[in-house]
Amino acid sequence: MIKIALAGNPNSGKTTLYNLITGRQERIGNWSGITVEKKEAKLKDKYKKDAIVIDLPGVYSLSSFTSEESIAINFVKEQQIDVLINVIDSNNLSRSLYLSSQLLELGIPMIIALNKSDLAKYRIKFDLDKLSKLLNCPVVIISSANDKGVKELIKKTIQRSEQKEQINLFEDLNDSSEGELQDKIRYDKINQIVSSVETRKDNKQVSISDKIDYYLTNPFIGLTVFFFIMWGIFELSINWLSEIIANILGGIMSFFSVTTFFQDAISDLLTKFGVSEFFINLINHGIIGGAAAVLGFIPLIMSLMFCLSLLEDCGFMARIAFILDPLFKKIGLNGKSIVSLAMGYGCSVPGIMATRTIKSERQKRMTVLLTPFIPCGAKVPIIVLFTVAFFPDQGWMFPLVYLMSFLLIIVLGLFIKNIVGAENIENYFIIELPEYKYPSFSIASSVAMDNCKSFIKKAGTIIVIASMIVFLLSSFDFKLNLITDNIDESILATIALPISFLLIPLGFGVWQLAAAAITGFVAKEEVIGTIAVLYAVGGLVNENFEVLNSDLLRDTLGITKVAALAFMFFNLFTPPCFAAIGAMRSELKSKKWLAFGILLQFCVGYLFALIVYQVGTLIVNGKPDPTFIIAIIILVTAVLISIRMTNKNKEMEMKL
Amino acid sequence: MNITEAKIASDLIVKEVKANQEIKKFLFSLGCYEGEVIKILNKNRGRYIIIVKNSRYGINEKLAKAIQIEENYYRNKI
Repeated sequence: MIKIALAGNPNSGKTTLYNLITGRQERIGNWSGITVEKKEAKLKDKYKKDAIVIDLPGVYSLSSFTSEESIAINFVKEQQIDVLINVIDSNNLSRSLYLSSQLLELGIPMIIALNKSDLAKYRIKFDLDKLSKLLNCPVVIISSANDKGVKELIKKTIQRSEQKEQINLFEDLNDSSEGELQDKIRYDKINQIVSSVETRKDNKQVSISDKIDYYLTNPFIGLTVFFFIMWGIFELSINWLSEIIANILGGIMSFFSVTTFFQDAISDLLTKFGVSEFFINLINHGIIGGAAAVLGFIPLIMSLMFCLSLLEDCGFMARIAFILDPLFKKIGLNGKSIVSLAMGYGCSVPGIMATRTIKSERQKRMTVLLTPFIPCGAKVPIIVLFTVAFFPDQGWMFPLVYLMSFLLIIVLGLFIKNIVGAENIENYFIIELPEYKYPSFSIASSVAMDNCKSFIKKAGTIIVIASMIVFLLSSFDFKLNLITDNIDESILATIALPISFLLIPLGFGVWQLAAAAITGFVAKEEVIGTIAVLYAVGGLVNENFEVLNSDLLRDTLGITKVAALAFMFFNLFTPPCFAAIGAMRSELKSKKWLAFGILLQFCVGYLFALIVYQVGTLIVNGKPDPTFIIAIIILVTAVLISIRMTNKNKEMEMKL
Repeated sequence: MNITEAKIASDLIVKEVKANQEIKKFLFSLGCYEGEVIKILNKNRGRYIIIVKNSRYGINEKLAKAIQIEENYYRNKI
């Protein structure tokens, strides 16, 4: 067994290469700072070598200023690595060689992979033999995005691992006394090497990317384009792409969506075998019902992830981070927060982890607190069910929800900044703007497939178990008698009823929906699962992505359109799943802030739903809801408390 | 003179980076240090795009002010 480590600058394509040679599906994007932790996996069998591949976070040098750098350095120094693959972006050889020179000092056998040859080949030519001789290590040209040269690279890497030493070209530098001078000599030497091995065809400094950037880095143009792209993605996903995917998956989808038919078949079969009616119900409504309701949303989630992956791959997001930085600073965030927020559309957990690249502690904390408010993949079923079932033929509702959540984040950012005090020191901000490229459809497809797999896995484990527990709790009363007629006497009803009283001013004060909201804290998909189990509605969407039984759903839930909207927002903003809370805890590193974050989520979810319901009812019915006065009291209290918190903080600052 | 005062699209020589050690080291690892040639590609409402060793970076006003450039060299170029 040998250990191969991948090291290189941020966005040099390490993770793309890693995914290619291990068959893993780690998150990638055409911007820096996606990998913040080391990842390891076995080398694919086809290379016929027992090896572990380790993907390290991207760094520009081996000085330990950032957490990514520390991880990378500690790892290469402490672990017994047999061979290092130094991945280099061939568009910037001289910068990359600075890190290479430091890596060579470690004395670990090294091989250089000149990556992104697809982007460089028209402009730059390399004298590989010379470079290899000068650095005393093999050099291979690859393109990890197109899977070119990778086989040769691995073959040579395995050969290289058999040699036990690495000649250090920069040996003489170690004797030099002064650190700064030493670094300059290092760069001089590198510049010499680069000029002797690299020929640039045209030295025209203004590239197509630059021309595009001339317009797109204008904040007004850039943000407008971004807004329309996001809008397009949602439109495309819900109206077009998900149907195509559903057609591809046709057989499976109809299997899940026409569950009623499927459930009948199962009951027939089980009855024949003499299985008791209770167990048949458990299997049909508890297990199949809950999981099937959630699985029906796979096409939409796949298409959303496909489009978002294309967007991340093209390089536009780095520009958005750049544009947003001054604006984000006003709400206590950092330009790099957009990395977290964008990843949060898929899942909050990696989004929260990506905050590690933010150096300012306050901006990092703020990003951790705000990322869970972005509707993640697990919340998509809730949004679709409630916008499509209650507002049919109003497709704009879906993107509107995302827009609302983004506006909410801005308001919350201002609010928190007001409470915890503004940061007066302005930070340095720098972000690399990689060259634009055509996004890779194959990478986007595998991202979508990977999301599909993990969604199925989740539905098959957590959702099945949670739905089963919901079913059991709603089938027995506290004396453990099986309930036959009145479900309101069940254990679940008894537990959820007191909570549902709190939800009356929000318009959905029924215990079933209270139970659904509670189970949503385990995993947001389970909100839909619980509704499916408790109302025994079976499949919720069909293969053309129309909501089945939408009348039935509306009638059985027995709540108004406005209340449905309030319920949706409540579930979008209240605490996310356990996994996200765990990630928040590990990044915030403070119980106080974690408690604040969770409390904030509860309050925001509750108050937002309250406002939506009360204002909505006033508009729709023309007269206030019976609970209007209670709602006003709650809102006024909330406002008073937050004003007090703000003032208290100001007093503290005055004292300081 | 710093980057905010310089003109777009001319070659500039870095004189000094007036910032904390951390950001200085970081810029050094990118190749932005005393004596090196950099270029300003674009300025827009407190946002600057600079070219250092064939890579583009977006920087904010504060960092742009921290990067000092050779004044004389700049004048000669004009």
